[in-house]
Parts: sequence; structure tokens; C-alpha cells
Amino acid sequence: MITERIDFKKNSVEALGNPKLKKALVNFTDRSRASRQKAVSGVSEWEELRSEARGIKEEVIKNLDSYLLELEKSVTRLGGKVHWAKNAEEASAIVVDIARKNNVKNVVKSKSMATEEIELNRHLISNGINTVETDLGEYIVQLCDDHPFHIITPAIHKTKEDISKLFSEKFDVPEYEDPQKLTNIARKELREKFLSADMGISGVNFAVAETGTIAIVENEGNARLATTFPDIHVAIMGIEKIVPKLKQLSIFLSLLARSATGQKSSTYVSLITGPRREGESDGPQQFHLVFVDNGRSDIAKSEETRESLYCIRCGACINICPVYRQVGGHSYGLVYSGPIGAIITPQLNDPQKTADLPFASSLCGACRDVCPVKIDFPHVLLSLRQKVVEETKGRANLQGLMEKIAFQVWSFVFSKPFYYSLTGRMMVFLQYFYQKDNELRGLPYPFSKWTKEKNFPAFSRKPFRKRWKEQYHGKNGIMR
Amino acid sequence: MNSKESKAFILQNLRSALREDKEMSRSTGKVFVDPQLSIDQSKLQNDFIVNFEMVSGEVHLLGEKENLTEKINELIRELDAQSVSFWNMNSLKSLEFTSEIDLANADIGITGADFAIADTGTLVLLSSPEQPRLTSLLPPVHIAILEKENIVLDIHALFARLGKSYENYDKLCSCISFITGPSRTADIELNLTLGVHGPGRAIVVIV
Repeated sequence: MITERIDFKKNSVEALGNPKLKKALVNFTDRSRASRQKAVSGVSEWEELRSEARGIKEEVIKNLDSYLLELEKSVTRLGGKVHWAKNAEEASAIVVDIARKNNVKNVVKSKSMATEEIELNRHLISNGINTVETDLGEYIVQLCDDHPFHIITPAIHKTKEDISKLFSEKFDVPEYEDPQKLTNIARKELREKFLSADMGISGVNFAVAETGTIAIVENEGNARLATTFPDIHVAIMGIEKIVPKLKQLSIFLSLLARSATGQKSSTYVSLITGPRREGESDGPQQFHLVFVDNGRSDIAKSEETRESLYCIRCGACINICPVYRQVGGHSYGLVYSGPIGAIITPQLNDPQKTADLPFASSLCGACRDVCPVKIDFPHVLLSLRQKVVEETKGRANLQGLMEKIAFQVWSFVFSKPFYYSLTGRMMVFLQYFYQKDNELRGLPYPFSKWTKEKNFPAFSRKPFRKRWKEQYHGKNGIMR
Repeated sequence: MNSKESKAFILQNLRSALREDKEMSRSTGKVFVDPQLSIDQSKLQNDFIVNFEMVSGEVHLLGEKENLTEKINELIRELDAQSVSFWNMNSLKSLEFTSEIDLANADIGITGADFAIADTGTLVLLSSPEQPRLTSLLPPVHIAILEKENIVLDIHALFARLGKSYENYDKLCSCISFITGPSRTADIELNLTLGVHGPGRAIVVIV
């Protein structure tokens, strides 16, 4: 639940003032983008896969009601149980209820954005149920009582020195800085948790309506452990995660691994179809699948923004986003960050409190170009901006008025060559007091909003049009 | 909380949302498996090896005159394992070891592999009473025995193959595990580390 307004600007300024974070972000986004690019370039039919996936998603969302019923039927036929939750509180209450009825004391969780979204851990823990995140990044984040920084690599904002100190404090071990040693410590600690857990909770990457199969994609093996070892498996899914046919998984699995981490395939993909069968020695005795709406059926109503529901949570849009690269994941307030956060968070939460987010983008469109299901982010963002403006009566304040005037002046000047060149010449004089090293600094209000953060290039004495003429037509206007 | 009421609410909301434009933009149903493609099995095998090794997996090719049981015995000795757990497979019946019941204490887990995917270097294991899931997961070392005829080109071909085996989806097994190398994470400053939860070593013996 969102309690106060997300102040994107304030959060960003905080993030920008942290040089350690900045270094981690640049390193991380550069590497992610490069490895994705490499993985994608190895697939000749990439564009066809994207189109196909997009087509499937369009059809699924349009018929989501009947697909949900089909999936429920398939899961029930296998001996599993489906639960419907219309909001976050209900979803958490369902899981707590399953735990209570089965006298569950220890829960192991694998990474799931849906459970972050519904704040499941808080509910379980406040009901006296030990709940441990088992993905290494999520585990680190949980140990520091922090929030995930990125949907794929949650602890990317922590340095190995931070983690080494944390482990040393919590587990009474020396301060190792070798990542492999730290990983081994986590393995030992978490293995104990798995062996004593009575319930495993996972997310769902894809759910197949036809067979009742859920697909879980991961690299560590913690999701496999959480869904195999404990007697009860509870899987939590947003209602948009459906894929109609089993064989269509090949398309989505191809897209997901390459888009998310630049791998040809993630290390582990588990296709789980119902609880343990007769004669099997492992796998859960009980299988529960929780459908979480939490605002999704409302998103389906808007033709303009419906495509937000096509997202497969790969994070490619986040890694490529020039805004995320600067401000990082926490600036977006809630679990989803980057472009997907900017479009999903305002639609799943109070639009007043999340009104900053649709504006947290330069609309460059890089996210649209990498999206494996071709979500047209700029289009959705503009539509959400429009809504914000309408709902706040045109941001009926000084800023709104100023913007309006500024754009009118701008359009007047730019549409008349005479005024355009006159303005340019005037600027050369006006900038005199603010100019230093060919840059403008400390401009008066409202331009101070710009120069407070960065310098503005000075207007040239010799405008481009004049230089162009000289270069290509010679001083006398004759073509060289 | 009333799950039935919520179900009605969600379905109602979706129906009212989507009522107006039901005519669908169906996917083209494009099939990404090329039936014309002639499959060169030895190329598939080579591709599998390259891709599996690229993700830090290890591959042993069984020579024509070599005996599988002997090879596995040898691997176990090399790994200096105290206890081994393995699937109930014919080729493992005459191992020097008996299968450890308590998987949590086993040093090595030995399984078969129902299929493998050349293009991604992936092993595919189907669960059944004879083929428990944890054998490939709990011990620090996983050895999988793969018959080379079961290597398919890519994930699309794999699903086509699964489709043939599972005409009737009631018989779809409870868990299909895709395994592409040893357990890995990059959660600490993007440093690759192995064996965080699953096996730190993944070894394939191709027969």
C-alpha cells in the first residue's frame, strides 16, 4: 500500500548525490545492455518472436476472463487449488490463511515481484510466521531491511564490502570480500532454512491455461528448492501472466532469458503441473495458485494503456533507460522501477500519489525498442500524463500556466524565421552577464531551474544559419 | 475475505472492460520449428557441448569402447565422494556404490536426461517416481547421463517433441526441469559465483 505521495524529484536528487550508487548503476546498466544485445543478435527470428508474443498477449488480455476460468479448471483437475484475490490485502490474507490452517511455522520464498507488490512478507511475519527470502539478492535486501533496487538483480546497490560487513554481523563470520565465499555462506545459512520449511512460496513467470502448468525461471535453484522441498507450495500470480498453450512457452522463454540477463537460457526453468503425483518421493503435497487482480482488471478497461498488462517482467526497459541509469530503482517509490514502473505503478495505485511517475521519462523510446512484447511505452506514458493533467485540472498552478505560456511563445518564435533569428541575436546580448567559458550559469528565475543543476551552452555570436551559408555557399553566397 | 465474491468481481470487471471489442487480433500461430531443416545429429551434439561448456558445465563423451558404469565409477572416485544418490536406471544398477537415501547428505546426484537442447546447452529432466526432482538439485555435484539421440535443435523443437509425447495433457508429468549449467548468481556486484543453491558443478556424460 502506498501511504504518501512518491516524490520522484526529491528521490532522484538524493540518488544523484550518491557517487557509489552512480558508479554501480553505470557499470550495471552498461553490462546488462551489452549482454542483452549480444544474446539477441544471435537469434535471426527475434523480430518474429516479438510479434508473435505480442499477438498472443493481445489475445490473452482480451479474453482474460475465459482463460482464467480455463486455468482454474486445469489446476483443479490436477488436485491443486485456485484462490481469487481482488486486491493486495486479500491476496496476503489468503496466504496467511493457508499457512494457519496447515500450522505452518517456517516459510521459504523465491523471488516474486507479485509478492513484493502485495507486501506478503510483512503480513506473514506479523502473523508470527518466519519468512525468509532465498534469492541471494533478495536475502541480502531482507537482511538489511531494505527494498529491491531492480526486478532482476535486487541488491545491485550494495557493494561487496557492504555485504561482507552485513554477513559478518549477522552470522558471526570473518569479513570475507570474495563473492564466492560470501555466496557459500549464504548457501549454508539458507540450506538450513529450506530443510526446516513447511511452506514454499514462489511467483509465476507464465501460467498455461490449457494444462495448468506454471513456469518459473531462475538462475540460483532457490525456486526449485522452494517448490520441491516443503509440503505446501503456494504460487502467486498477477492475473495477466497467462499463456494459452503449452507449446507457446517456447516463444516466451526464448524472449525472457535473453531480454532479462542476456543468457540464451536461464539456468533453471521449472514447468510445474499440479502437486506431487502418486508414487513420487518429492514435490509438494499441496499446490495452491493465487490469482491477484489488485487493479489489473481496471487496466484492461483502458484501450490506451491496456498493453501495460503484456509485460513479462524481464527488466530490459529498465536497463536501457537513460533516466533509470541516473536515478536508480528506489526513486520510483514502489517495487517496479524504470519505464515499466513509470507505467505500472500509477495504474496499480492511487493516481494522485503516483502522479510524478509518468513524467519520469524523456520519451526517448529506447524501452519500446527493446521490449520483448513491444509495449509502446511513450504512448502509454503520454496517455497517463494526459490523465494526470486532466485530473489535476491542467496542473492548475503556476507551473502549469508558465508551461502553457512558454510553449505558446516557443511556437510563435519558431514558426517565423524573422523572429527566430531576431531572438537568437537578442540572446547574444542578454546572456552577457551570465556567460562564462562559453556556458550560461546562474540564470534568473524561471531559467534558474535549469542552471541550478547544469550549465546551458551559450548562444553563439555567429548563428548556425550564417555558418552554414559560409561553409556551403562561400562568403558571397556562391556554392563552392 | 470471500474468494467466491472476489472471483465474481474480477470476472465481471474483465467482462465489462473488454466487452466492446471481442474480435481478436489472434497471434498468427507461427510455428518456429522448421520441418524442412535436415538435422545433423553430430552437429547437434557439438553445439550442445559448446553451449553447455560456455555456461561452466562439464562434458564427458563416452568412447565407443568405454563402459558407462565404469565411467561413472571413475568420475565418482575422481570426485572423492563419500555418498552418491542416483535415479533407478539400468545403467546404474551395477555401480560400486549404493544410492544414498538421505539426499541432503549426498555428495553427488546422478540422473538421466530425457532430452537436451543444443542451441542453449540445456538438459531437460522429467519427474516421475523413478526420477525424483531433488537428485539433480540438492547435492553439490550433479552428473547427468544423456543419450545423444535425445538432443534436439532448440527450445521450439523441444516443445514440439514434448507435444508428441504428451498428446493427452492429463499425463503431463508433475515437473519438467530445464537445467543449463551449474547454479549461478551475479547478485554481488555482478560477480558470477556458482553453486549458490543448486549444484556448483554440472557434469554431463554423453552416451
